[in-house]
Amino acid sequence: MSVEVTLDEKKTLMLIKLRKYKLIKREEKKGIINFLCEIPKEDTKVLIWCYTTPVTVGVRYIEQMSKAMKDIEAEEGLIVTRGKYTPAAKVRSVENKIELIPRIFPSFNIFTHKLVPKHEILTSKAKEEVLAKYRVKPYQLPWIKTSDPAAIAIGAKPGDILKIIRDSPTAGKYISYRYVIEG
Amino acid sequence: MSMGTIHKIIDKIFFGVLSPQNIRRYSVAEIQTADTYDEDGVPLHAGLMDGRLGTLEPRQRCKTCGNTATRCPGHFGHIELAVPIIHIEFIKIIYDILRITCRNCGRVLLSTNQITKINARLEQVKKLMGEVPNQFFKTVLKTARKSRECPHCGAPQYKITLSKPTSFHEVQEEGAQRLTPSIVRDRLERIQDSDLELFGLNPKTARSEWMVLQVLPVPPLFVRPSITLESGTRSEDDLTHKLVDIIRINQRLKENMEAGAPTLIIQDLSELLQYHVTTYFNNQASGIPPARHRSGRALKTISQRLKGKEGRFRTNLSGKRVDFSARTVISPDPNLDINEVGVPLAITKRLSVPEKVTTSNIDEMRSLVINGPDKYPGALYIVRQDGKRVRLEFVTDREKIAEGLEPGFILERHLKNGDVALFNRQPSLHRMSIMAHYVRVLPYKTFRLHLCICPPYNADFDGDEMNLHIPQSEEAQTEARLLMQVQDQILSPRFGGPIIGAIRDFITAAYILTKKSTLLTKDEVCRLIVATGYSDLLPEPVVKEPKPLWTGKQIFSLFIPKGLNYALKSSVCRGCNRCLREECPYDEYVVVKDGVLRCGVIDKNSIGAEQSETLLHRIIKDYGTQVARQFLNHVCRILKIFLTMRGFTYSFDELELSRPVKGKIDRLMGESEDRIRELINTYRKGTLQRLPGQTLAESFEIYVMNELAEARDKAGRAADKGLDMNNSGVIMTRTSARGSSLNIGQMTACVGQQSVRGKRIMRGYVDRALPHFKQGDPSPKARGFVYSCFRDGLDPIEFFFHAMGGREGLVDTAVRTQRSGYMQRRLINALEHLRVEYDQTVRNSIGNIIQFSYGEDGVDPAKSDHGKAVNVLRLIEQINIMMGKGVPASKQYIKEKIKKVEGQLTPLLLEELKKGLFKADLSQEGVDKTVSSTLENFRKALVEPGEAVGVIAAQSMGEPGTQMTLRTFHYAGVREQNVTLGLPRLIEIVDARREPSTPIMSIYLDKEHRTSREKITEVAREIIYTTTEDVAQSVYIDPETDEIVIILDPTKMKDREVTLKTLEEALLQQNYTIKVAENQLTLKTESSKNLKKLLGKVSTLRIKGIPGFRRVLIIEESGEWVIRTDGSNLPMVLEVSGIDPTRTITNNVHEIAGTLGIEAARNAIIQEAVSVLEEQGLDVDIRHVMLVSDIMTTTSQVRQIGRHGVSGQKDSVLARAAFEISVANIIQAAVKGENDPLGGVTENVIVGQYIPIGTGLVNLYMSPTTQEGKE
Repeated sequence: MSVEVTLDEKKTLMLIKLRKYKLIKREEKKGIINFLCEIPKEDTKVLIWCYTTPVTVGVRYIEQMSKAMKDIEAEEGLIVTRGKYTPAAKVRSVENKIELIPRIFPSFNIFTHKLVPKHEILTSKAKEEVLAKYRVKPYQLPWIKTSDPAAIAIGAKPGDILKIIRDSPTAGKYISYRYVIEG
Repeated sequence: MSMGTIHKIIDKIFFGVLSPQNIRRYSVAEIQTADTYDEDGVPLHAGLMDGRLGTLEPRQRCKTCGNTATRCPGHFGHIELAVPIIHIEFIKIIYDILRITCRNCGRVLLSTNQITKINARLEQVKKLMGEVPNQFFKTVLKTARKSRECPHCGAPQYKITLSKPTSFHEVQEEGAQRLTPSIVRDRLERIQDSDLELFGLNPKTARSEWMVLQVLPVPPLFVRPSITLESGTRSEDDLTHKLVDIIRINQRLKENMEAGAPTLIIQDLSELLQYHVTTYFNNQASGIPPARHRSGRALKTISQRLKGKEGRFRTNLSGKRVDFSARTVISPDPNLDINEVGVPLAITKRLSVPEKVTTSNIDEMRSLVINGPDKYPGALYIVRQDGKRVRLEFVTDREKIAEGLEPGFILERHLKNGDVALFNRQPSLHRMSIMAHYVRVLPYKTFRLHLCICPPYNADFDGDEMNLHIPQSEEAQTEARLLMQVQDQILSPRFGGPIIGAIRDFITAAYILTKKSTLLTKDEVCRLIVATGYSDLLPEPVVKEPKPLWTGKQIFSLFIPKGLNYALKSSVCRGCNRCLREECPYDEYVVVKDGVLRCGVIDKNSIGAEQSETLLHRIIKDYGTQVARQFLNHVCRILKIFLTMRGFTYSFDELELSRPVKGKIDRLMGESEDRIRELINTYRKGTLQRLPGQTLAESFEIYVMNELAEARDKAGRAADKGLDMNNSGVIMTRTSARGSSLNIGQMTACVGQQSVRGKRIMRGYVDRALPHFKQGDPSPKARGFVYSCFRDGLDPIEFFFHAMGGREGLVDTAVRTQRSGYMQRRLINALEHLRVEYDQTVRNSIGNIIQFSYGEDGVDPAKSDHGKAVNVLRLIEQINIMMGKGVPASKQYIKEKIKKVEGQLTPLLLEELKKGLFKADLSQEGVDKTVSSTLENFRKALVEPGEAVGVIAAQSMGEPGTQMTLRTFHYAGVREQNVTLGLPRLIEIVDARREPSTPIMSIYLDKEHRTSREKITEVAREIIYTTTEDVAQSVYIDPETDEIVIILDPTKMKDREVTLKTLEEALLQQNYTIKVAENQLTLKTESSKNLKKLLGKVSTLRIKGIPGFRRVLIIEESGEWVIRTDGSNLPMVLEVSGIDPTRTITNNVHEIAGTLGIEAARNAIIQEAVSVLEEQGLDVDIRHVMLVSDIMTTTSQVRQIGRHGVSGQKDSVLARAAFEISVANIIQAAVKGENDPLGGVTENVIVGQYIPIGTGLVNLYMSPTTQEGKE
């Protein structure tokens, strides 16, 4: 990568890395960088728009994006910006499967921060095992929101269960789980 | 539980709103007469005291159920209201519903499309999250409220307003229209069931129209008993009074309506009726004057009965009164066993214990009966097999009755030696505040207790009183014996060390006894030893000629268990640079080998209370609680006799310092006075160096205070040096028996600075504290420095200042107890229902998981070794001594051995084990033994299922709260930075405040920047918030030219590294033109209209830096440069280049949750709380803090410990109501049709059932049929 990377692109690249997306195409236009990625295994395409100037993302942007997504048959969309999102845009984005990355999302790998333990998404098989082991309904586990920075970083969806590996002062290593809820 | 009664268990409690039909159905009488009794005192028929409502007279039978007063449950009556009346407690809900439903068709103001969407969403949320959060319904309300037209019938909707307390108005075009309760009721009636569900109402239990009353239930007499005064006049309950009012107005209204009175009168009366019904429910409703008694006292109506500390919930339901208890003053008795309590004879004769008569004890029982209730030992009651009770007080011929005693009878006899009793002192801050003691009947009138158990009760003998409870059933007695005995409570769950141990004079005595110079004659040794019942041979005396003499160490060793090996530094240890350990020249290194005290003196570090890693601690861990109890008993008894034999006093003479020392102190004081004079001079001249972020006056104060504190310390130290170990005061302080060297310094040298609110004393008169000084005198004496010492006495001015400081101390203590008490109440309420399940998980009352393994390793801190599951190093040491030398096992062997137990031990323990064994050179056998012992000890240290870990955590965090300082500000590393610490900070953390009172960030730098000061300053300049003002000398409006002029300050600009160019760029964006001149900027606007406004805008304009940072400090911390800031803004700081984002932190937990996630917030809470506790020197196991942090973060948000967070979201309605805001909680539950599954603690206490925690969790399950093919 070149040395001069803007903050927003850094964020985007970090997200792609943390979510283990496969970058297919990178396109740079004025004030915007387009990324096309693929989620490995699931075979779905993700379109990422990264605004390099602080813009306020309104409903129009969302419409544009969802159109662009249709054009290249991407199922999911993602917007990274330094600007704000209008409330209407937030509502529309959910309908169009577009994820809006909040502007306070850090550009470094948050899992390297000493306060943040490792988060992993459980496979559906592992999920069943956990639920069976503790004999609980998923919502009886501790919760984590989809808007949680750690959840955003690994791209957790509502209904997922995250495995959290903490460094424990008492046990050395400790495994906890959290159920992903909307919000 | 008497035989034959059917014992039912309440499984669930449902809440709902009564429908008018139901009220009528449950009613036994319609009440129509406003009066109570006729002239003869007979209750009126259809009056408020109607006999059908139940009876209160002892021998009367109830007219409804035919039972006598004791068995009749009471029956409701009803009043038919002439007009519908709005129930005040439902007013908010009614208001909400009215605003979102159509005034015409009664449908919800949402389109069919929206409704189906919401319903689908409702289903989805329910499936996903178990239950629908309140927030969901709130958003539905919000969206529906926006409609101005009904989407179903097209009728226009008007704004509805609520004017307190109970009237609604509809704002139509032609003006506001009042909505009478009947109209409201009509509208509520029209709403469909399915629509009600959309906003969270359960139409089955709470139809909307039921919130407007047509019928008023009249509670039975038991709820509102009348009392007969001595004069024979009856006095009625407040509720009865209120009901009389209601009926009277109701009847009048009815008559008027029938007579066809004008609407005005009817309306007036309806409003009056509304007032009475409103105050009947809640006499403190806002916007309404409370109904008063004739005397002017406000009536206590239904809401007031339930609410608050004195309300039904907290006084009668969560807390219940008990029989078989006693309370009296306590006094000390060192001759008792630590697990005994001395009970006065008079009390033993009033408290009784039921004992079954058997063939083997019948003779003894007969003699008790013959002695009767007044002669000890006697008995109070006989309970025959048929359940009949005979009160021995009324029996004339007790001999005869004694003859008739048969096996199977139960005798309620006097308390006797050896009975179990629960002993308690309030405030009961932790579980050691109630312990089981064995009764010892003693003369006189006070409870007696051993001095060693003062610390857990926090008792002293300045008039303290304590309570005693006698468990009656065999189960209760056994449980008390198994779980609550004093010796089983020596180890505190707060930190995993002994909380019971020697205190005060015991420690002094131990020091004197065990110091080298103490030699005892045979006579003395015998006197000491005999007190413990020691019956073995005397050890060999160390001195044989001319007469045999024994050392104190020898005597002390007699009571240390054989085989114990331990070494520690004593409290008197002076901390030499190089510790010679066993060879310590001062005999301050304690070594116990094979149960013999080889060297060292015994003091607080060996046998003290609230001290971990002591000799006592080792004895408990290695030999068990019985041995420890005996050790404490014996040692304390010897020490007591020894000290009385030797004598110990702190005399006035001992406070006198020698001449040279006195001279030195005077000299020191003189020197520091000189320095302060110098400071005053520079201050007056204005050449004093200012501290960053402080004004000159503040800086001066800080300098002077530091100087004076140092002066006092120096004087104290000089005094300390002037006194030797023969000084009684020094003995006490050095052994940590009592007092501190500061106290001694104050007595002998100098009392020092008195302060109020952390500052020197300055208030009182204008610019001076007392009229004896000149105005503005900054000298030490004028601002409360006390030069004298307590021995010589204070002069009047000093005395006055000292009293000022002293009073602040008293106020502080009073405030602190209150605040920490409330914090503890909240903690307890938030955590009480947590327990460890059989699968080691920590769950709440409905089975939601809070922790997957308690404390992350499943270890009970009470069973741990000062927080560790197994003390591996000590174990290896022990095995090393036990096994002796052999062929050292290979590393390979150790590795394999450890590998085998992987998964059974925590990774931390495995690591420790590996390291320890590699170092130890144990034989193969030794390694085997170590590993297996570790495993065994680890398993023993695990928490037991059912353990009330929540309550223990709450207690362990709350109890030390009382010991914390209230002093808000403290210095953290840098003296110029203030940080909130102590109790206020801890409260802030559990409160989950949005913003801490002193937000602070610690910003670490990356490799490139962390080493040099220049580079870090660069980064700091990027962070500090800089505005135009900060770099300008002045900013003003030039009135001649109507321009804004900014005169720049080059030094400031350089300091902040702002160039003219950046400044210009920052200013550019506005609508004016900029002229740049040498150190001056002129802004010219097109219109001079908003010049003032613009001036404000320009001067506070951000030029660079991050908002929130007004002060940035650069400090050195363990070899690297760190930026410390006042103010916090984590997300933006993380993006600053040059910093190390992985280590940068803030003390604002919410900010961490927002930028780094909930897991990071959890860690941050733990870190913050632990550092507060540590800073205060309080030992609290981290597991407790973890649990608090975990419950605060389980729902993915940081929740407060309190009514707006954890406690407000508890699953039990009753538990919520019992905590705070009782009525609102019950109303909510009723409307939503909630049920209380009774899974927690408070709920079950309220209904009077066993709590499902600890031994109460044990249940017998049975599957009556086994169904094949099904699980």
